[in-house]
Amino acid sequence: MSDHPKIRPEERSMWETPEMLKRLWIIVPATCVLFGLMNIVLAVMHKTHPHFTIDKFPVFYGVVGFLSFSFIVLAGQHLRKILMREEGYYDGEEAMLPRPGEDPRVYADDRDLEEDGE
Amino acid sequence: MIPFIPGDFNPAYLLCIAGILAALSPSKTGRGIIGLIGIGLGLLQLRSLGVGQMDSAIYYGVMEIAGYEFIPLRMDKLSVIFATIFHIAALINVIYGWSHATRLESSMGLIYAGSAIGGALAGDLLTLFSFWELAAISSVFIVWAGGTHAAFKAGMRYLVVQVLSGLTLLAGIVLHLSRGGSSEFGKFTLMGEAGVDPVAALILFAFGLKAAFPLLHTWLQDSYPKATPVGAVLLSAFTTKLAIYTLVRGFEGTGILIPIGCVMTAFPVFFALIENDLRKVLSYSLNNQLGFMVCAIGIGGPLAINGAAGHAFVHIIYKALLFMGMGAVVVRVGTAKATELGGLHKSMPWTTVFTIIGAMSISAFPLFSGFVAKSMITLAAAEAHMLFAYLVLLFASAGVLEHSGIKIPYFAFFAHDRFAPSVTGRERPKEAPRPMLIAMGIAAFLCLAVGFYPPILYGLLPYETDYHAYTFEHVATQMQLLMFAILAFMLLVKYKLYPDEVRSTNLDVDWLWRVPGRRLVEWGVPTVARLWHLIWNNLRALNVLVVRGLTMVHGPGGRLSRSLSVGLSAGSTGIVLAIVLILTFLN
Repeated sequence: MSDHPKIRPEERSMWETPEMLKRLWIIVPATCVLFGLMNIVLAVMHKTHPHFTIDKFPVFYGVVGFLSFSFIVLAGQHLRKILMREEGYYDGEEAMLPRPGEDPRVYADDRDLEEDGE
Repeated sequence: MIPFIPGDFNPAYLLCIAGILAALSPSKTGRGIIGLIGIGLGLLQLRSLGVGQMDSAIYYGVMEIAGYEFIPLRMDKLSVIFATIFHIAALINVIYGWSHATRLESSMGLIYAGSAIGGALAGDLLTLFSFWELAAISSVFIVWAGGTHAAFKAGMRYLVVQVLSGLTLLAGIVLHLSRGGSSEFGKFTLMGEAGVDPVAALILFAFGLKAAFPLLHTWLQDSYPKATPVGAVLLSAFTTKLAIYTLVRGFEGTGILIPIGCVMTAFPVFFALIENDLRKVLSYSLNNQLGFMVCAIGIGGPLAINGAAGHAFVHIIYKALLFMGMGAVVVRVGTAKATELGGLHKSMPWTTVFTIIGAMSISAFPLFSGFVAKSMITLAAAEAHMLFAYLVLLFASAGVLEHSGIKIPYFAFFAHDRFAPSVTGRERPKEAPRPMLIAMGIAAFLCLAVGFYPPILYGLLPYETDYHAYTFEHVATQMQLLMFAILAFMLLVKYKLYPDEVRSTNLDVDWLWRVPGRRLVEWGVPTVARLWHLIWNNLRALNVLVVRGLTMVHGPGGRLSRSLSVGLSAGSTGIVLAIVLILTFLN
């Protein structure tokens, strides 16, 4: 779904090929249209049960989904300007340690790691 | 009924006993087997106790001590649905931790699950309080089992909050009982005729702390990501859902919960967007999901309460599934940070599939479990004609899709492939260990089973329902919401508007007490000490002064210790007598 400049072409899986990306660009908009149309048909047939005035509009939910998602991503990333600090802000270097210390007396030994050793 | 267990035995004790035995067991397999047996017996016992309807609960073991009525077991549909899901969560946890749980996690995990079950089944307030505290104390060991110093400190903060919640609850209970309130845990009225009832407010605060209400929420995001892979799954299931249960029982239809729930669903969405640690993203997502339930509790009525209980039920499963997926990644790669992950679907395909099932469930795609439960809550808001709440819930649904539906699987398993042999020079990380895969498989199966056949869930709900999730309208509207949001995601990625992941710490309200609050304490302790020394030194000086003065007057050679003649004494007595006589005559 995104570009992978560093890896070799043979290391790509079927999900990372340009064809898959192209297919996604057909499938997703087509599904949007399909369910939008479905809702319009239902509205025309008076099979919908709107509870307010605004949700009488047939593609109301599509619009809400699209706008909400865009707003969250576009507005939310600016929070970083206020809230973002370096990684060890609270606990210093220990916050950056990759995983819990594995004291064999405390931490369960990993069977699969044992298998690796054999 | 199980032959060797008394008929009214509390299933919670079965899990607690299993937890104690697990602590003594020498091997991991032994601990796992003890856990399975304990949970199995607990489930059987739960079933044999029976289920009463909401207005005709079945009570067991009722006894009166010093005028207080203890009700250790109250079986009605609300308590039983929570007790059931807690058993299922415990079962999944035991399997997930089969080869990776430490002794501490195995034993404390069972006691923790048992205390959540006991809390859900408790019929009176003091029994509830006991299990409430037991849950707090047993779970902090699971945070500490994370092993790092950061986990230890987070555990201390966690403990402070949990104990504060317990103390507030106890204070509320004592005040409630002292004014003649019933010992049975029932509904509290927050807004009486005389304004806000302080006792109900205290109890609501205690519940709200554990349910991670906005501004009281940071203990959750602070501690859960610092636990071990197994520990985080354990923690995600019990504490907050026990709090949701108590809110349903005690504060159904309390209006203030609607705005609280709305804020709770909406604000974590933004924090989850910018967070790098995917387990912390899940913790924010947990908060957002709890918001849906809190909102439903505020709305009240059979549909909303069914929605809250049903949502809690399915949420425990898919949230555990997501935490399990990320836990498996931590086991194999050593981190859950988005900046260090990507491309794992090539070597961890099963984990990828299971995590995606969890992600689609939490996003409420039709045919997945989230859809059948969450739609009840949004429908309840719509039927109550609460437009603002309804819009916030829709907004939050798009938010869930963003952080849990897309971000988690996308950054962990797709996005930038950081594990290609040509990049790292090593083999790719292996698929998750088998017990973990089995546990994830069970959870994924349950998500799909409830999604495909909702009557499994609807039969357990507190109130009778003829609700149908799968109408053309529901499916069309929900799919529109989700697919248009996905389209927005694709457009944002295409035009490079989607933010990259950055190694960072993002501040939350806990900054207030972790930085300025801490400085205040650091400044306050020596300042108070200095002030105290000042007061103490002055008092001592004053004391010396007084003693010295008294010695001068009363001491040997002092003015009042001179020896006087008998004549002077007789003369002064005569004078006093004369004055008294004159005054008497004048009167």
